[in-house]
Amino acid sequence: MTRRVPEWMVGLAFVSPWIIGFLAFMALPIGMSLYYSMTQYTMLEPPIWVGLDNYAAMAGDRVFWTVMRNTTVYALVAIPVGTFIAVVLAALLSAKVRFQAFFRAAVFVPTIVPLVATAMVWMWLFNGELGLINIVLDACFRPINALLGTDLAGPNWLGSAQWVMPALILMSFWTVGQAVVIYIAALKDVPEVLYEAAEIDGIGVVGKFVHVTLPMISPVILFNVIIGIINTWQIFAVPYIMLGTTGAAKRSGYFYTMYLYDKAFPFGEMGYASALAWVQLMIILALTGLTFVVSKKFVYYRAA
Amino acid sequence: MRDRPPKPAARVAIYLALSAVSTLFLLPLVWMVSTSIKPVEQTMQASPSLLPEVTAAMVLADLRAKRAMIAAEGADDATLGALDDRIEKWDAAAAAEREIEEAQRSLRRMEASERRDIAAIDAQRTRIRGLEDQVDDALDSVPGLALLLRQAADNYAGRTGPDGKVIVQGVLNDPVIDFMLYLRNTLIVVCLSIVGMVFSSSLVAYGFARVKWRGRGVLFAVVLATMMIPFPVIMGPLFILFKELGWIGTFKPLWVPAWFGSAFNIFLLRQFYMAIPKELDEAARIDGCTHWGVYWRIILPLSRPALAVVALFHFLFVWNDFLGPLIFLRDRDQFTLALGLQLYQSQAGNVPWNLLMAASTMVLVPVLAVFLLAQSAFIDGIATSGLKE
Repeated sequence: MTRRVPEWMVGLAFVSPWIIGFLAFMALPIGMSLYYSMTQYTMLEPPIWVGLDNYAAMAGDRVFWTVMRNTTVYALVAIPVGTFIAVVLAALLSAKVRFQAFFRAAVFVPTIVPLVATAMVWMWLFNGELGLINIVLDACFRPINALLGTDLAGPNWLGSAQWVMPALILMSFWTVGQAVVIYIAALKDVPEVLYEAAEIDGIGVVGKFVHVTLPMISPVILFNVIIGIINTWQIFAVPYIMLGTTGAAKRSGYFYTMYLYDKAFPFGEMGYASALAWVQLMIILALTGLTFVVSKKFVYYRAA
Repeated sequence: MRDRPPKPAARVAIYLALSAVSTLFLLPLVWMVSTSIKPVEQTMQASPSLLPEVTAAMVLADLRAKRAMIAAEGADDATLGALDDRIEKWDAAAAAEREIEEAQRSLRRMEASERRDIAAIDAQRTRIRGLEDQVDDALDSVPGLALLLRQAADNYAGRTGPDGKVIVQGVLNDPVIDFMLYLRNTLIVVCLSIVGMVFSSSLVAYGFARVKWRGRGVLFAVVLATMMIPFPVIMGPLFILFKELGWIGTFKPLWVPAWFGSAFNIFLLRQFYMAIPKELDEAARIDGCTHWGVYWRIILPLSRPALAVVALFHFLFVWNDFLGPLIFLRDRDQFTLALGLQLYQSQAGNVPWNLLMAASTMVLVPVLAVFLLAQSAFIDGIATSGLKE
């Protein structure tokens, strides 16, 4: 055995592309961002040191609190409801039936649709006058209106301040497919003996789901919730395309990353944008940590 | 709960639920394609149908386009005259169609009014029936399928005369938005970055999975941790960095970083390499093979399926990426399809819904094709990301 080069050098050589990429395209930008966050920087003139002013300014920035609220509301509704839908769908799609592959593909396909195309399709579906959703809604409302003398009609979803958020949350359920796939794999890993034991104890279908299935897949639920939190704070393309940069509905469909983008690029306030970015990073880390701590009570880890 | 087939009643319930769910999930895409092949007036109906209908208005529009086309090609007066006669006839049929719609609207008003005039309603019904017969007679002789296909082709490709003048406006012959150019740009970025991503991710994964060295566990934990850092957090400084390098307005920001691997793909490949029996490369090492030799001649050929999954995931990522091109590209000539589609919707003015859906369908089709070809590989890859570690 000839070994001229020590193993640690070989190992480092193999992983060096990642190390270089990490330093250049991640560590350096994060560091730069920390520095810029304490400056006033328009990208036209050199940065001016302002200390923690940018962070202090956020407290009084009404738009900042608007995007914080919108993003939080979205996360608080879309993640729990989406998780519930995904687990139920995964259970349904685990049943041994014919055409199972087709049903699974149908639920998964929306997740690979390019976001721009997703935005276009849903703009069309949510269209106030000609959209399919309102055509169906109005058809359902017509007999109700005739019977009760009410005046129910489909809302102008994307054009009205209070319906933008429900519309975006509804849309988010269309792409639960990724989570469903992960839950299906998790359900398959639940040992059959546990179900048999439960059956001997006389526990029904619902009981088995609550007392066996849910605890066994709880680590995977935790994983998906964390991914969901990270993704929510990155929401950009869909509302950006659907609502545009102007419009009455904009503020109620305005998310954290959209504000960060607007500050950094169209407005050219790189200093403030960098502070927003750091706050975003801290929020994501804090929420992830919090999820872990809270979940200690609920998540069951099998001994490996 | 799983290996036993469910009872018949439960089975029916499961089928019903699954059918409803898959219909709901597929409906938006079906509706997109359906809209994309309709003539514009059929996208504006109060009770639209799933498939486009053959109408006199469609025949008329088709004939008018044909006339404009052959006139531009320099057809003789006799041919044009014959076409003009047919146009006149279909003009009348299309007018009758519009009359039917108008008559039906007034019929609905009459039926809904407080004092229903039965005689007038009957007269209106007879009139509508007469008009419908007239239109149906005319449409009887029309080759419906060919007309529908031409309508679909018109929405996607449009018709352009020999002099380059647009006769029928479709997606691909838009004067401002050049989708073929955007396709070319997207393919350039896709190819350059997939090669880099597959090569470097596998190299790094090998370093973590098959070479024993101190600190690799810690460093791999760092790799996993970087998955938590969202792109928006670093996009501002990245822009400044690329600007300093003179890369803004080129494709480089979109593909060069791929040559340094990505945490997710490194993770995926490392999982795969860990599962390959150690004896294989230990034997080769004893025979004097270097690590590079083991990587190149043993691990890479064995991991073709995993490499394909990485290539697929990265293809999807690049094809669908919106924020990256939005920030780093400057000229319209360099736009990718995702960006081009958004530009088509926002800057080309009021794009009719049928054309917008046709453009969206075109952007979706390659992704769908790749997915259908490699469905199981895809789904296994995603399931792995959620379960291991």
